[in-house]
Amino acid sequence: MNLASSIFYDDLDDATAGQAKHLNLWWQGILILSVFLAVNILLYVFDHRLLGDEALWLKPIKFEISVIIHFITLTVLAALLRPAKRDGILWKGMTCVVVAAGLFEVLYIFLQAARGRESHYNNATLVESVMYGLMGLGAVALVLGSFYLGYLLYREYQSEQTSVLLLSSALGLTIGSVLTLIIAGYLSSSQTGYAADINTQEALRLPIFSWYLNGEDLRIPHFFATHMMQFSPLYGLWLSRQNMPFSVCKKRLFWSVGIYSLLVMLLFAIALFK
Amino acid sequence: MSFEQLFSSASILAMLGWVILVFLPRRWKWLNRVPALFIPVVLSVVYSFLIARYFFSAEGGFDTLANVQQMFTFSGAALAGWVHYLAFDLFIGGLIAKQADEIGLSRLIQAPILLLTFMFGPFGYLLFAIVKPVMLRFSPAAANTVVGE
Repeated sequence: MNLASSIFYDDLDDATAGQAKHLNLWWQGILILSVFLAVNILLYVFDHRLLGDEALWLKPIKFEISVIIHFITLTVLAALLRPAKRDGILWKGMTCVVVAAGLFEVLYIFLQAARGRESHYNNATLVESVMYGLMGLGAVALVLGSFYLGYLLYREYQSEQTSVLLLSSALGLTIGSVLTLIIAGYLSSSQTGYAADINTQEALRLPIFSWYLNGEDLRIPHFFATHMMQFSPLYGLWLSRQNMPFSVCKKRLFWSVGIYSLLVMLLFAIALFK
Repeated sequence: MSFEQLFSSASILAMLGWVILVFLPRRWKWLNRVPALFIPVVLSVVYSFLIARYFFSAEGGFDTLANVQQMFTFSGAALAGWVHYLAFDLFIGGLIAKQADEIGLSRLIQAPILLLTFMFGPFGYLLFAIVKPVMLRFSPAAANTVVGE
Protein backbone atom coordinates (compact mmCIF):
# COMPACT_ATOMS: atom_id res chain seq x y z
CA MET A 1 0.00 0.00 0.00
CA ASN A 2 1.47 3.42 -0.97
CA LEU A 3 1.57 6.54 1.20
CA ALA A 4 -1.47 8.23 -0.36
CA SER A 5 -3.55 5.10 0.06
CA SER A 6 -2.43 4.77 3.69
CA ILE A 7 -3.77 8.24 4.38
CA PHE A 8 -7.29 7.40 3.21
CA TYR A 9 -7.70 3.68 3.87
CA ASP A 10 -6.92 1.13 6.53
CA ASP A 11 -4.21 -1.36 5.67
CA LEU A 12 -5.71 -4.62 4.48
CA ASP A 13 -4.32 -7.93 3.35
CA ASP A 14 -3.89 -8.12 -0.39
CA ALA A 15 -6.54 -10.83 -0.53
CA THR A 16 -9.23 -8.64 1.02
CA ALA A 17 -8.10 -5.24 -0.16
CA GLY A 18 -10.30 -5.24 -3.23
CA GLN A 19 -13.41 -6.34 -1.37
CA ALA A 20 -13.71 -4.28 1.74
CA LYS A 21 -11.82 -1.08 1.05
CA HIS A 22 -13.50 1.95 2.57
CA LEU A 23 -12.46 5.27 4.02
CA ASN A 24 -10.73 5.01 7.37
CA LEU A 25 -12.27 6.36 10.56
CA TRP A 26 -10.41 9.67 10.30
CA TRP A 27 -11.88 10.43 6.89
CA GLN A 28 -15.33 9.27 7.92
CA GLY A 29 -15.05 11.76 10.80
CA ILE A 30 -13.81 14.48 8.44
CA LEU A 31 -16.71 13.70 6.11
CA ILE A 32 -19.45 14.13 8.71
CA LEU A 33 -17.73 17.21 10.17
CA SER A 34 -17.63 18.70 6.67
CA VAL A 35 -21.38 18.14 6.35
CA PHE A 36 -21.88 19.90 9.69
CA LEU A 37 -19.65 22.71 8.46
CA ALA A 38 -21.68 23.12 5.26
CA VAL A 39 -24.94 23.19 7.26
CA ASN A 40 -23.37 25.69 9.68
CA ILE A 41 -22.26 28.01 6.90
CA LEU A 42 -25.83 28.04 5.55
CA LEU A 43 -27.13 28.79 9.04
CA TYR A 44 -24.55 31.56 9.42
CA VAL A 45 -25.80 33.16 6.23
CA PHE A 46 -29.51 32.98 7.06
CA ASP A 47 -29.66 33.09 10.88
CA HIS A 48 -28.36 36.41 12.18
CA ARG A 49 -28.80 35.85 15.90
CA LEU A 50 -25.98 36.99 18.16
CA LEU A 51 -24.46 35.25 21.17
CA GLY A 52 -22.60 37.74 23.30
CA ASP A 53 -21.08 40.13 20.80
CA GLU A 54 -20.54 37.80 17.85
CA ALA A 55 -22.60 35.87 15.31
CA LEU A 56 -24.13 32.77 16.89
CA TRP A 57 -22.93 30.29 14.26
CA LEU A 58 -19.37 31.59 14.00
CA LYS A 59 -18.07 29.56 16.93
CA PRO A 60 -19.29 26.13 15.67
CA ILE A 61 -17.81 26.97 12.26
CA LYS A 62 -14.41 27.74 13.81
CA PHE A 63 -14.44 24.55 15.87
CA GLU A 64 -15.49 22.40 12.92
CA ILE A 65 -12.66 23.78 10.78
CA SER A 66 -10.22 23.31 13.66
CA VAL A 67 -11.20 19.68 14.33
CA ILE A 68 -11.16 18.88 10.60
CA ILE A 69 -7.61 20.28 10.33
CA HIS A 70 -6.62 18.25 13.42
CA PHE A 71 -8.01 15.01 11.95
CA ILE A 72 -6.37 15.61 8.56
CA THR A 73 -3.05 16.29 10.29
CA LEU A 74 -3.24 13.09 12.32
CA THR A 75 -4.31 10.81 9.46
CA VAL A 76 -1.68 12.23 7.11
CA LEU A 77 1.13 11.94 9.67
CA ALA A 78 -0.04 8.51 10.86
CA ALA A 79 0.60 7.34 7.29
CA LEU A 80 4.31 7.81 8.03
CA LEU A 81 4.15 4.99 10.56
CA ARG A 82 4.94 1.43 9.59
CA PRO A 83 1.71 -0.56 8.89
CA ALA A 84 2.32 -2.74 11.94
CA LYS A 85 2.32 0.35 14.17
CA ARG A 86 -0.54 2.04 12.33
CA ASP A 87 -2.67 -1.07 12.68
CA GLY A 88 -1.63 -1.68 16.27
CA ILE A 89 -4.41 -1.85 18.82
CA LEU A 90 -3.10 1.20 20.71
CA TRP A 91 -3.18 3.57 17.74
CA LYS A 92 -6.51 2.12 16.56
CA GLY A 93 -7.93 2.62 20.05
CA MET A 94 -6.55 6.15 20.21
CA THR A 95 -8.11 6.87 16.81
CA CYS A 96 -11.54 5.87 18.16
CA VAL A 97 -11.09 8.02 21.28
CA VAL A 98 -9.93 11.10 19.34
CA VAL A 99 -12.64 10.85 16.65
CA ALA A 100 -15.35 10.33 19.29
CA ALA A 101 -14.02 13.30 21.29
CA GLY A 102 -13.93 15.54 18.20
CA LEU A 103 -17.47 14.60 17.17
CA PHE A 104 -18.75 15.12 20.70
CA GLU A 105 -17.21 18.58 20.95
CA VAL A 106 -18.59 19.72 17.62
CA LEU A 107 -22.05 18.23 18.17
CA TYR A 108 -22.44 19.86 21.58
CA ILE A 109 -21.18 23.26 20.39
CA PHE A 110 -23.58 22.99 17.43
CA LEU A 111 -26.57 22.13 19.66
CA GLN A 112 -25.78 24.89 22.14
CA ALA A 113 -25.51 27.40 19.31
CA ALA A 114 -28.92 26.28 18.00
CA ARG A 115 -30.28 26.83 21.51
CA GLY A 116 -28.68 30.27 21.63
CA ARG A 117 -26.59 29.33 24.66
CA GLU A 118 -22.89 29.26 25.46
CA SER A 119 -21.08 25.92 25.35
CA HIS A 120 -17.91 27.06 27.16
CA TYR A 121 -17.79 28.61 30.64
CA ASN A 122 -21.47 27.80 31.03
CA ASN A 123 -22.32 26.46 34.46
CA ALA A 124 -25.83 27.89 34.45
CA THR A 125 -27.53 24.50 34.79
CA LEU A 126 -26.35 21.15 36.09
CA VAL A 127 -26.49 19.58 32.61
CA GLU A 128 -24.52 22.45 31.03
CA SER A 129 -21.98 22.30 33.83
CA VAL A 130 -21.49 18.54 33.37
CA MET A 131 -21.29 18.95 29.59
CA TYR A 132 -18.66 21.68 29.96
CA GLY A 133 -16.64 19.30 32.11
CA LEU A 134 -17.01 16.56 29.50
CA MET A 135 -15.88 18.99 26.81
CA GLY A 136 -12.72 19.52 28.85
CA LEU A 137 -12.13 15.77 28.89
CA GLY A 138 -12.78 15.64 25.15
CA ALA A 139 -10.23 18.40 24.55
CA VAL A 140 -7.65 16.49 26.60
CA ALA A 141 -8.37 13.36 24.53
CA LEU A 142 -7.82 15.33 21.30
CA VAL A 143 -4.43 16.53 22.53
CA LEU A 144 -3.41 13.15 23.94
CA GLY A 145 -4.01 11.63 20.49
CA SER A 146 -1.62 14.05 18.83
CA PHE A 147 0.97 13.65 21.59
CA TYR A 148 0.84 9.86 21.31
CA LEU A 149 1.23 9.99 17.53
CA GLY A 150 4.20 12.31 18.02
CA TYR A 151 5.74 9.75 20.36
CA LEU A 152 5.17 6.92 17.86
CA LEU A 153 6.73 9.01 15.08
CA TYR A 154 9.74 9.78 17.25
CA ARG A 155 10.22 6.05 17.87
CA GLU A 156 10.02 5.56 14.11
CA TYR A 157 12.62 8.30 13.61
CA GLN A 158 14.93 6.75 16.21
CA SER A 159 15.01 3.49 14.30
CA GLU A 160 16.34 5.14 11.12
CA GLN A 161 17.68 8.63 12.08
CA THR A 162 17.56 10.06 8.56
CA SER A 163 14.09 11.49 7.97
CA VAL A 164 13.69 15.17 8.75
CA LEU A 165 9.96 14.83 8.04
CA LEU A 166 9.57 12.19 10.75
CA LEU A 167 11.54 14.28 13.23
CA SER A 168 9.68 17.50 12.45
CA SER A 169 6.33 15.72 12.74
CA ALA A 170 7.29 14.15 16.06
CA LEU A 171 8.50 17.49 17.46
CA GLY A 172 5.49 19.43 16.17
CA LEU A 173 2.97 16.97 17.57
CA THR A 174 4.58 16.46 20.98
CA ILE A 175 5.62 20.04 21.74
CA GLY A 176 2.45 21.45 20.15
CA SER A 177 0.34 19.11 22.29
CA VAL A 178 2.13 20.03 25.51
CA LEU A 179 1.90 23.78 24.82
CA THR A 180 -1.78 23.42 23.87
CA LEU A 181 -2.51 21.45 27.02
CA ILE A 182 -0.85 24.09 29.22
CA ILE A 183 -2.59 27.06 27.62
CA ALA A 184 -5.98 25.38 27.13
CA GLY A 185 -5.77 24.00 30.67
CA TYR A 186 -5.24 27.50 32.04
CA LEU A 187 -8.03 28.82 29.80
CA SER A 188 -10.58 26.25 30.90
CA SER A 189 -9.71 26.54 34.59
CA SER A 190 -10.16 30.31 34.44
CA GLN A 191 -13.70 31.13 35.47
CA THR A 192 -13.55 34.44 33.67
CA GLY A 193 -12.94 33.20 30.13
CA TYR A 194 -10.35 33.95 27.48
CA ALA A 195 -10.42 37.75 27.70
CA ALA A 196 -11.29 38.59 31.28
CA ASP A 197 -9.87 42.07 31.64
CA ILE A 198 -10.38 43.34 28.14
CA ASN A 199 -12.64 46.29 27.48
CA THR A 200 -14.58 44.47 24.77
CA GLN A 201 -16.25 47.62 23.54
CA GLU A 202 -13.01 49.43 22.76
CA ALA A 203 -10.48 46.69 21.89
CA LEU A 204 -9.56 46.22 18.25
CA ARG A 205 -10.64 42.78 16.90
CA LEU A 206 -9.28 40.58 14.14
CA PRO A 207 -12.03 39.73 11.64
CA ILE A 208 -13.10 36.05 11.33
CA PHE A 209 -10.94 34.98 14.30
CA SER A 210 -12.65 37.56 16.58
CA TRP A 211 -9.45 37.91 18.62
CA TYR A 212 -8.91 41.03 20.69
CA LEU A 213 -5.68 42.56 19.47
CA ASN A 214 -4.55 44.35 22.63
CA GLY A 215 -2.40 41.33 23.55
CA GLU A 216 -4.55 39.99 26.39
CA ASP A 217 -6.63 37.45 24.45
CA LEU A 218 -5.59 33.92 25.53
CA ARG A 219 -6.99 32.41 22.34
CA ILE A 220 -4.03 33.80 20.38
CA PRO A 221 -1.28 31.72 22.10
CA HIS A 222 -3.72 28.76 22.13
CA PHE A 223 -4.08 29.06 18.34
CA PHE A 224 -0.34 29.21 17.69
CA ALA A 225 0.39 26.39 20.15
CA THR A 226 -2.12 24.08 18.47
CA HIS A 227 -1.01 24.92 14.95
CA MET A 228 2.57 24.04 15.73
CA MET A 229 1.29 20.56 14.87
CA GLN A 230 0.94 21.72 11.27
CA PHE A 231 3.76 24.26 11.10
CA SER A 232 6.55 21.91 12.13
CA PRO A 233 5.71 18.98 9.78
CA LEU A 234 5.20 21.40 6.87
CA TYR A 235 8.55 23.02 7.56
CA GLY A 236 10.09 19.56 7.82
CA LEU A 237 8.56 18.62 4.47
CA TRP A 238 10.01 21.76 2.91
CA LEU A 239 13.44 21.06 4.42
CA SER A 240 13.37 17.48 3.18
CA ARG A 241 12.94 18.75 -0.39
CA GLN A 242 15.96 21.05 -0.19
CA ASN A 243 19.27 19.77 -1.32
CA MET A 244 20.89 19.94 2.09
CA PRO A 245 22.68 17.45 4.33
CA PHE A 246 20.54 15.94 7.07
CA SER A 247 22.61 17.53 9.84
CA VAL A 248 21.92 21.03 8.46
CA CYS A 249 18.19 20.28 8.11
CA LYS A 250 18.11 18.98 11.64
CA LYS A 251 19.85 22.08 12.99
CA ARG A 252 17.47 24.41 11.16
CA LEU A 253 14.51 22.39 12.37
CA PHE A 254 15.57 22.61 16.02
CA TRP A 255 16.10 26.35 15.70
CA SER A 256 12.72 26.95 14.10
CA VAL A 257 10.84 24.75 16.58
CA GLY A 258 12.63 26.46 19.45
CA ILE A 259 11.86 29.97 18.18
CA TYR A 260 8.23 29.02 17.48
CA SER A 261 7.83 27.59 21.01
CA LEU A 262 9.36 30.72 22.55
CA LEU A 263 6.97 32.87 20.52
CA VAL A 264 4.01 30.89 21.85
CA MET A 265 5.24 31.18 25.43
CA LEU A 266 5.86 34.90 24.95
CA LEU A 267 2.30 35.42 23.66
CA PHE A 268 1.00 33.41 26.60
CA ALA A 269 3.02 35.46 29.09
CA ILE A 270 1.82 38.73 27.53
CA ALA A 271 -1.80 37.57 27.73
CA LEU A 272 -1.34 36.56 31.37
CA PHE A 273 0.56 39.50 32.73
CA LYS A 274 -0.26 42.49 30.55
CA MET B 1 -54.84 3.34 29.68
CA SER B 2 -54.81 7.17 29.76
CA PHE B 3 -53.30 9.33 27.04
CA GLU B 4 -50.41 10.19 29.36
CA GLN B 5 -49.70 6.53 30.08
CA LEU B 6 -49.87 5.69 26.40
CA PHE B 7 -47.55 8.62 25.61
CA SER B 8 -44.99 7.39 28.17
CA SER B 9 -45.21 3.75 27.07
CA ALA B 10 -44.79 4.60 23.38
CA SER B 11 -41.87 6.92 24.13
CA ILE B 12 -40.09 4.31 26.28
CA LEU B 13 -40.62 1.66 23.61
CA ALA B 14 -39.15 3.94 20.94
CA MET B 15 -36.26 4.85 23.24
CA LEU B 16 -35.49 1.17 23.70
CA GLY B 17 -35.30 0.83 19.92
CA TRP B 18 -32.87 3.76 19.65
CA VAL B 19 -30.66 2.36 22.40
CA ILE B 20 -30.44 -0.93 20.49
CA LEU B 21 -29.69 0.88 17.23
CA VAL B 22 -27.00 3.17 18.62
CA PHE B 23 -25.29 1.08 21.29
CA LEU B 24 -25.85 -2.64 20.87
CA PRO B 25 -23.97 -4.98 18.52
CA ARG B 26 -25.40 -5.77 15.08
CA ARG B 27 -24.23 -9.37 14.83
CA TRP B 28 -27.59 -10.88 15.79
CA LYS B 29 -30.29 -10.59 13.12
CA TRP B 30 -33.11 -11.02 15.60
CA LEU B 31 -31.86 -8.07 17.64
CA ASN B 32 -31.57 -5.86 14.55
CA ARG B 33 -35.21 -6.59 13.76
CA VAL B 34 -36.39 -5.21 17.10
CA PRO B 35 -35.75 -1.51 16.25
CA ALA B 36 -36.03 -1.90 12.48
CA LEU B 37 -39.28 -3.87 12.38
CA PHE B 38 -40.87 -5.01 15.64
CA ILE B 39 -41.09 -1.68 17.52
CA PRO B 40 -42.18 0.38 14.47
CA VAL B 41 -44.92 -2.20 13.78
CA VAL B 42 -46.14 -2.06 17.41
CA LEU B 43 -46.15 1.74 17.28
CA SER B 44 -47.98 1.61 13.96
CA VAL B 45 -50.70 -0.52 15.55
CA VAL B 46 -51.06 2.01 18.36
CA TYR B 47 -51.13 4.83 15.83
CA SER B 48 -53.79 3.10 13.72
CA PHE B 49 -56.00 2.64 16.73
CA LEU B 50 -55.61 6.28 17.82
CA ILE B 51 -56.26 7.64 14.37
CA ALA B 52 -59.36 5.47 13.87
CA ARG B 53 -60.74 6.26 17.30
CA TYR B 54 -59.91 9.98 17.73
CA PHE B 55 -58.82 11.63 14.48
CA PHE B 56 -62.26 12.25 13.04
CA SER B 57 -63.66 13.63 16.26
CA ALA B 58 -60.94 16.31 16.48
CA GLU B 59 -61.55 19.78 15.11
CA GLY B 60 -59.21 21.25 12.50
CA GLY B 61 -57.56 19.60 9.49
CA PHE B 62 -54.50 19.46 7.26
CA ASP B 63 -55.44 22.27 4.85
CA THR B 64 -53.94 25.23 6.75
CA LEU B 65 -51.33 25.65 9.45
CA ALA B 66 -53.96 27.11 11.75
CA ASN B 67 -56.14 24.02 11.24
CA VAL B 68 -53.21 21.68 11.93
CA GLN B 69 -52.50 23.61 15.14
CA GLN B 70 -56.20 23.42 16.03
CA MET B 71 -56.23 19.64 15.52
CA PHE B 72 -53.21 19.13 17.73
CA THR B 73 -54.87 20.90 20.63
CA PHE B 74 -56.93 17.72 20.92
CA SER B 75 -55.03 15.17 23.06
CA GLY B 76 -55.95 12.06 21.03
CA ALA B 77 -54.81 13.66 17.76
CA ALA B 78 -51.63 15.09 19.34
CA LEU B 79 -50.78 11.68 20.78
CA ALA B 80 -51.38 10.05 17.37
CA GLY B 81 -49.05 12.65 15.82
CA TRP B 82 -46.37 11.90 18.43
CA VAL B 83 -46.59 8.14 17.89
CA HIS B 84 -46.36 8.82 14.16
CA TYR B 85 -43.05 10.63 14.74
CA LEU B 86 -41.77 7.84 16.99
CA ALA B 87 -42.66 5.06 14.56
CA PHE B 88 -41.38 6.69 11.38
CA ASP B 89 -38.20 8.16 12.87
CA LEU B 90 -37.23 4.78 14.31
CA PHE B 91 -38.07 3.01 11.04
CA ILE B 92 -35.85 5.47 9.17
CA GLY B 93 -33.16 4.99 11.83
CA GLY B 94 -33.29 1.24 11.20
CA LEU B 95 -32.89 1.78 7.45
CA ILE B 96 -30.00 4.19 7.99
CA ALA B 97 -28.23 1.71 10.31
CA LYS B 98 -28.63 -1.14 7.80
CA GLN B 99 -27.34 0.87 4.84
CA ALA B 100 -24.57 2.45 6.93
CA ASP B 101 -23.30 -1.03 7.84
CA GLU B 102 -23.37 -2.02 4.17
CA ILE B 103 -21.25 0.94 3.07
CA GLY B 104 -18.75 0.41 5.91
CA LEU B 105 -19.65 3.52 7.91
CA SER B 106 -18.17 3.15 11.40
CA ARG B 107 -20.55 2.78 14.36
CA LEU B 108 -18.77 5.79 15.84
CA ILE B 109 -19.87 7.94 12.90
CA GLN B 110 -23.32 6.34 12.79
CA ALA B 111 -23.95 7.34 16.41
CA PRO B 112 -24.34 11.13 15.87
CA ILE B 113 -26.35 10.52 12.69
CA LEU B 114 -28.73 8.18 14.53
CA LEU B 115 -28.94 10.44 17.59
CA LEU B 116 -29.86 13.38 15.38
CA THR B 117 -32.43 11.25 13.54
CA PHE B 118 -33.86 10.34 16.94
CA MET B 119 -34.05 13.96 18.06
CA PHE B 120 -34.67 15.84 14.82
CA GLY B 121 -35.74 13.14 12.29
CA PRO B 122 -35.10 14.66 8.86
CA PHE B 123 -31.90 16.45 9.95
CA GLY B 124 -30.27 13.12 10.79
CA TYR B 125 -31.53 11.65 7.54
CA LEU B 126 -30.12 14.65 5.64
CA LEU B 127 -26.69 14.01 7.15
CA PHE B 128 -26.80 10.37 6.08
CA ALA B 129 -28.13 11.26 2.62
CA ILE B 130 -25.02 13.42 2.10
CA VAL B 131 -22.52 11.08 3.74
CA LYS B 132 -23.69 7.93 1.92
CA PRO B 133 -22.84 8.89 -1.70
CA VAL B 134 -19.44 10.18 -0.65
CA MET B 135 -18.71 6.91 1.16
CA LEU B 136 -19.81 4.98 -1.92
CA ARG B 137 -17.70 7.20 -4.16
CA PHE B 138 -14.61 6.25 -2.18
CA SER B 139 -15.62 2.62 -1.57
CA PRO B 140 -16.30 1.24 -5.03
CA ALA B 141 -16.63 -2.33 -3.77
CA ALA B 142 -19.38 -1.40 -1.31
CA ALA B 143 -21.46 0.27 -4.02
CA ASN B 144 -22.36 -3.10 -5.52
CA THR B 145 -23.69 -4.51 -2.27
CA VAL B 146 -25.92 -1.67 -1.08
CA VAL B 147 -29.64 -2.36 -1.10
CA GLY B 148 -32.04 0.41 -1.96
CA GLU B 149 -29.99 2.18 -4.60
